[in-house]
Amino acid sequence: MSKKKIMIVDDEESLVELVKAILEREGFEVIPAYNGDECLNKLEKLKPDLILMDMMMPKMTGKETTKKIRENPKTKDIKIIFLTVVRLSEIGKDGLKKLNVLDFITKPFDNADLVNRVKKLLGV
Amino acid sequence: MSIPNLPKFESNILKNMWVSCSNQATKALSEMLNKKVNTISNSPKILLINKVPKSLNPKDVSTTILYTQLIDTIKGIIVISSSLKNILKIADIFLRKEPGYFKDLSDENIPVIKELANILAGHYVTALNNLLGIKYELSEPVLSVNPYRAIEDFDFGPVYVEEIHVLMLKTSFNIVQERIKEDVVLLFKKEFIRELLEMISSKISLVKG
Repeated sequence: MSKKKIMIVDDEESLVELVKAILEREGFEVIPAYNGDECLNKLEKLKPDLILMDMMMPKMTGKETTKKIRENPKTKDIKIIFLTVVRLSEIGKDGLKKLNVLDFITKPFDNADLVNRVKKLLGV
Repeated sequence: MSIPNLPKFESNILKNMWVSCSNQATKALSEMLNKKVNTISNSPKILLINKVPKSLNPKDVSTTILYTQLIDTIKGIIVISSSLKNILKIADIFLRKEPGYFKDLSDENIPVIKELANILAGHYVTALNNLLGIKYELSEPVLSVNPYRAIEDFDFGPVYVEEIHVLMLKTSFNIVQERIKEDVVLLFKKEFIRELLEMISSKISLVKG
């Protein structure tokens, strides 16, 4: 069975490396991207099963990147989880749910919790 | 035309409502920045809308504002007002840059600044929705370095031609450790004050049973 592919999008390189190490240990293939543009450029070719998307990134925020992903018929159905340092209000969460964001993980996160949520969403 | 007064009882109700909304937003802002945030909420005021920018920041010509419309039958707007310097300081913190990294607004920091406005306004509006039992939604935030220009876009009518009064609720945030001050202002069109107060009264009656 082929490995499930997860893309991690975050401008904080140390966090990308950390998440990559955690998820690779669990048997996932991890694709790093350090900004919204890089995420969009890699998406069509690499077709991840899930994206972990940072909310606050320079130039293109996680929300703007997600909007572009949803506008593209080839990428619109990819599962997305948001990573955020910010406690979101209900209206903030509702806005992201409208973009079909499936879950929100607050940074700093518990490694086991991250893995559990990823596995649950991917059904593994 | 004389400026109408807001009766004391109604004024207190509105102030309590606003303080409750501000508490939610303060908690969120403090968590976002991981810093202590002090706030002062003023009593509600009715004033001419074109006086509002002056009251936001009379001495700082570089005032920058972010505003987002409240979408529902009762029209309102949330304005976050600060000096450009302070807004750039917040962008430095959020994008993990050295203090003073951002010298001006740019493609790199504007999306994050707008997102922060969205998050902060989201906390106010969620609190308002919960308090009033309504379903406000927010428009996308607009960033402007010219409050006088922006105020014409608030969709409150011809502000420099007619005397248009608004109800203003204002909180000043002070992030002491960073020497950052900003104001959050909620404006409602005067015509909606009665409706707004009735909504609050009916909510209070419900709570009292």
